[in-house]
Amino acid sequence: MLEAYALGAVPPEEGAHIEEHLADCLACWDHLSESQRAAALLALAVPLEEPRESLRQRIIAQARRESEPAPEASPRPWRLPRLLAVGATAVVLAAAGALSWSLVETRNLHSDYHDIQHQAAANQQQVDLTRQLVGVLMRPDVETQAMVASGMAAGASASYVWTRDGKLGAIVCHHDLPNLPKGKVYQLWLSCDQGAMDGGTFTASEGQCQHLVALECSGPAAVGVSVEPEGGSPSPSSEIVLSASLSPR
Amino acid sequence: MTRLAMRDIKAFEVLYDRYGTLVYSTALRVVGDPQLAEDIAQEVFLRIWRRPDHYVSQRGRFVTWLLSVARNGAVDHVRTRGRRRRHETAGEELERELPAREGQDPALMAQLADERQKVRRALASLPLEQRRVIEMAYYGGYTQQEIAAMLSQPLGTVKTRIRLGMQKLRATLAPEMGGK
Repeated sequence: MLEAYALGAVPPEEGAHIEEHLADCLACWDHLSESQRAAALLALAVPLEEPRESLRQRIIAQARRESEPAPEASPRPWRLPRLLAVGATAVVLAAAGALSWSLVETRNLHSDYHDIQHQAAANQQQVDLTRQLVGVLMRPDVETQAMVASGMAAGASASYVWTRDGKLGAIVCHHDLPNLPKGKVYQLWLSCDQGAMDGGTFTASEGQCQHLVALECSGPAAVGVSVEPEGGSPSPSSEIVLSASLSPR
Repeated sequence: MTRLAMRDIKAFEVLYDRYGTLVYSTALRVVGDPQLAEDIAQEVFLRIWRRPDHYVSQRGRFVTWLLSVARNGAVDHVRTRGRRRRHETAGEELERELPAREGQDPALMAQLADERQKVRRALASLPLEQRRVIEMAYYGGYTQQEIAAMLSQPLGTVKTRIRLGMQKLRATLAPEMGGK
């Protein structure tokens, strides 16, 4: 019966009975999972027919149309002032270390933390907000994901850390992120339930970067970084050089 | 997929060039109508463009997920529109391979071609009556009850053929099925 279910060959009422049973039968889940994977391969066996070239043109043209920014674009997400962003992100680094985030180099963390702690102390407001942000990032619902580097950033090591509610995130580059020529910046992009969002711009320093972003990005699915003109772009205009899928674990 | 999520149109073009023929062919196998198969392929690709996060890598390989979306979309069409393709078994048609396009990863295309051949062989190795019911279910979107009526066979016989056939496919295709 599970084989027929995997093929989609049972009527809905029978399917509902099977699903009820599956809820209490782990062995059945395994069995069904294997049958579903076998069934999914069947599509590979179809005789190949080449679609008309016009199909490709139609699909790509429609995708292009849909990716154009709407005339009434949503307001640019709020970005932390640069100085604050640096301070806050350093503490994020410390928070990440506290979470046994193995990707972060502990030595750099301590160094950054002390440097920026001194800086932050000069502005109590900054410290308060920083603490607030760190408090959030210390929550148990924080996720981290190593990013994939490619193109001109190939060889760089970076991670993205974010809260599951999608309200806070930070990109931290550990080493080998190239410095950009004058007039160019890195720009972070997020894929959210609301669509693609601009996560702000940042630069590299001695191969490292820290960039904190606070915005309403529900169900964050992926992040990416492209190289853009200073001031940022409304959408990525160059290849994505750092990327990560953010599937919750 | 990450590049798609970043609205990278070039990544989308690569995706289409890589899988467009397979997606279209899957839809065509089910609906038997080139125009409708194109519409379904368009729906599938634009759905990925709009929501690339709908694919979760833990669910399995991207290509099988993508083709399942195409197959399920096509089956929904034939079920709602009552349009049915003849349920002939495949095998006599000329063997064709995926078209080579500029910029494609040759290793990936070779792997796909190899997998296609293995799945076709696995299907061809089944006793004809088992293969027929599986193909009617998967490519035709028919239920066991419908298949039994169409073949004038007892429902129990159809159920047994599907079960035995799928068990053999699972065993034969285990290396292709990958991890959980």
